[in-house]
Parts: sequence; C-alpha cells; structure tokens
Amino acid sequence: MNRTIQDLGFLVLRFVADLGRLGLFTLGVLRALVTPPVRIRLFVDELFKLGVLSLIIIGVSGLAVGMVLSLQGYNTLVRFGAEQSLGAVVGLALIRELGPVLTALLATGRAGSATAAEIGTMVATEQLDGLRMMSVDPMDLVVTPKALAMVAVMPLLAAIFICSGLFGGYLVGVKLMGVDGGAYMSSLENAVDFRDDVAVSLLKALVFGVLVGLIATYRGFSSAPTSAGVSSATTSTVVVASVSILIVDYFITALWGV
Amino acid sequence: MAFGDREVFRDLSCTFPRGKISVILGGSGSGKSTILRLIGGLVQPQAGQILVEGQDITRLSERRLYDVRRKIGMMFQGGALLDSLTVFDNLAFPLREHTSMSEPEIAEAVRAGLEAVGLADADALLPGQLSGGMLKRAALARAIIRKPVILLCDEPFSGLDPVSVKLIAALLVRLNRRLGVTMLVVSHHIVTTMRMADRVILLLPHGKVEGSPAELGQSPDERVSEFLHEDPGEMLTAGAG
Repeated sequence: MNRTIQDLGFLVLRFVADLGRLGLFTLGVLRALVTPPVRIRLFVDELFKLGVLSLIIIGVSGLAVGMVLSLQGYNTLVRFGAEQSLGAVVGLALIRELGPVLTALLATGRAGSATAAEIGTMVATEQLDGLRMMSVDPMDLVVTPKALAMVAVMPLLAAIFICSGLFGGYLVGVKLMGVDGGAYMSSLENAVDFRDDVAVSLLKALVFGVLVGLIATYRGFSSAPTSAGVSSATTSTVVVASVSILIVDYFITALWGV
Repeated sequence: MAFGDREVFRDLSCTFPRGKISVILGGSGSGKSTILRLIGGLVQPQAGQILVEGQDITRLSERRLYDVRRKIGMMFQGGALLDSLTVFDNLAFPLREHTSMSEPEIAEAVRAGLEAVGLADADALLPGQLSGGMLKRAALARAIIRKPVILLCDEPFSGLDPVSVKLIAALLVRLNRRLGVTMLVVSHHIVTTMRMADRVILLLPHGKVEGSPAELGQSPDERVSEFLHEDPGEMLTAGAG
C-alpha cells in the first residue's frame, strides 16, 4: 500500500515538474516571439512543411469522414422521415466537433511527430548546442517558427477538412442516396451559425494548434540526446498531444457550449 | 561536476594560458569533453567558478552567455553542422547571423575557410553527404570562420586518416601561432596532440597531472607514463603519417 502511494506521489511530482518545465518553455517561446530577429522566412518554410504537405491527408480524411457521416446520418434520419435534415447533421457534426478534433489528431500524427523527431535529432547530433555556441538561440531559430506555424496552420487545415467533409457528405447524401440537393444545402445553411459554430470551431482548432505546437517542440527540445530519446519524444508527442486534444475539447465544449 | 548521480569530477582547477594550445587527455568518461562544455556554458557545474577572460560565466544568464560565446569557436566531436544546410550555408550561417557582411564578402570568406581545410569542392554538399573526415574539417572551418579568440576542439582527430590528421593539426598550430588563438583540444590522439601542445592536462581517476609535453614525458609518475604510452597503434599511425 505504502509503495503504491509512493509511486503515485512520484508520478504526481513528475507531472507537476514537467508542467512547470513546459510553462517555462512556453515563456521562452513567447519571449522569442517578441524579440528580434523576426524569422519570417523560416516561419513560411514551416508553414509549407506543416501545412501544405498535410493537405492531401487532411483533404482525403475529411472527404472520407463526411461520406461516412452522411451515410450513417441518412440511414438514421430516413427511419424518422427526416432525411431532408442530412445537411444540418453532417454540417454541425463536422463543424462543431469532428473537423477541429480530427484535424488536430491527424496533424499530431503527421506534423507533430515529425517536428518532435526533427528537433530531437538536432539535440542528439548536438546541432542545438552548435547553435548556442554560435550565439544563436535555438528557441528563436528552431522552436518558435515551428510552434507558431503549427498554430497558424491548424485552423486552415480544419477549414479544409470541414469543406472536404461537407463535399463528401453532399456526394453521398445527394448523388448516392437521393436526398434533394436544395434541401441538403438549405438545412445546412439554416442550422449553421457563423459566430456560434464556425468561429468557435476555428477557435478550437487554434487552441489545438497551440497545444500540438508546444507539446511537439517541447518534447523534441527536452529529449535525451540518443536515438531512443528521439523515438521516445516522437511517441510521447503523439500520445500526450492526442489525449490533451480530447480533454481540452471537452472543456471548450462544456464551457462555450459548442 | 555531476550528471544526476554520476560524478564526473570534483575539486578540479585548471588554467588554460592565453594564446597557447592546451591539450586535455584522459580516459573515456574522465570528463574531458565536459570541461569544454563547461567553458562554453553548455552545462553548469554544481559548484565553483569558470572564468573566461576574467568573467565568471556560471553567474551569467543565457542571453549574457551569448555575448561571451561570440569570442569562442567550438568544433564538436560529431561536427554539429546543421543538416538541412549545405556546407557553404553552414559556414555562412554565423556570418549572416552576426555580421553586416555583404553576400559577396560572405562567399569570399566561406571559400577561403573551405580552402584552408581542403574542402573547396564540397561547398554544395549537405553534411549527410560528407565522409567523417570531411565533416570534421567542415566543422573546424565553421568554428574558426568568425576568428574566435578561444577555440574549443572536441576530438578533432578521431576517425580521420593520417593525412587529414596532419592537415588539421597543422591548421590548428598555424591558427595559434599566427593569430594567437587560445586553444583547448580534447583528444585521444596522444602523439599528435603532444607534438602540438604547449600545455597538457592529463585527467586521471584520482586527480589531474599537468605540465608541458616534455615535463609529462619525463614524469616519474607511473600512471602518466602508462597513459602516454598506452596506444602503440596510434603511434604507428602517426609515424606513418
């Protein structure tokens, strides 16, 4: 029993210490953000790597999710003779929940893990120490452009995911299942409110972008300088970021009713 | 100095004379590289002072450390070149970051640096495309491109062929003699480093021994003579080179 309490205490202390280090790391990112030099070119490079290179996976996943949602929604709604509301069901599910959450999870798997691995490899090969010895702050040159790019691309990727999903839902609902196209679009238009649904959905994605950006860069930055350290940083990025996204999603939804 | 529970050394006091080549020798895990990292401010000691040009760097913030590091060049054991940049851009990087030199001036300085280490044709290659020896030479070229006052070299000769060892040793000596760069060299290459050193610090399990190469060569201490003559293979290599 004592042993269990000890282990639990150790875990709690480690969690709190880790949280404190993440807090200090976040302050470092914020300081680098407001301190010159501004590294626009690196930021744009990261936008390309994290955003443009994720477009296909986000687009295809959004399309597939929209198609499945439409199929499932139709099969359920048709029992009540409410298949004309398919657009609203697909749209609200995608915009309020699935769009930002699934985009963040996909981005964590593709871009977050890659970011952690890249920074972790730089730690293992002493590249970050090399930068420090050249009087260049790695937080400024390596971490901040990546974290900031993740924050910037997440709402855009979520928007693309949602649009692809709506298109997929339309294809299945209207072209395959025979729902009236006008009814699909008008139920979507009537159900979705820009401020309550779309804006908050993008805000959710922005918060997830902050989470994934910070967790991925922090895990890579604080990884052990070994190949096992890189591997551990990558895995823990995916696990911690995914769980954090789901937990934070609950709180945002509960607090803002979205 | 300790990492977690592992103590690397205790009560170590060393002085590295200005404008001289100091070589740190010792067995694996004796803390040779850690001394360089302490001087560069990359790790912090649990207690004590590290004076770089009279300034105690253990009391400096990371921002202030960057000012001190402007005077220091460091050649890392694995090169530590930025793997996403070509050799040319790796050398140009510190110049672009810290000087107001124009691109043609930077290109000229980089070419001169690459020629000095025999890598004039490798400017367009990425670090991953270089051999071990080329990587070391590129790392050295980057470390000296801003003409540092202090140069820290972590195993500059490991993994090099005898010709490259001679080239790098000659380059280091030339830098020291012509520009008065203070050098700290950590190496296992005993013969080469003893030839170029002005001062040698030998880290042994129960303390350090220091002196000129001649003094250490004639030391009656068995541990010293045993260490200095422990690698006949390397002596043969150096003799052949």
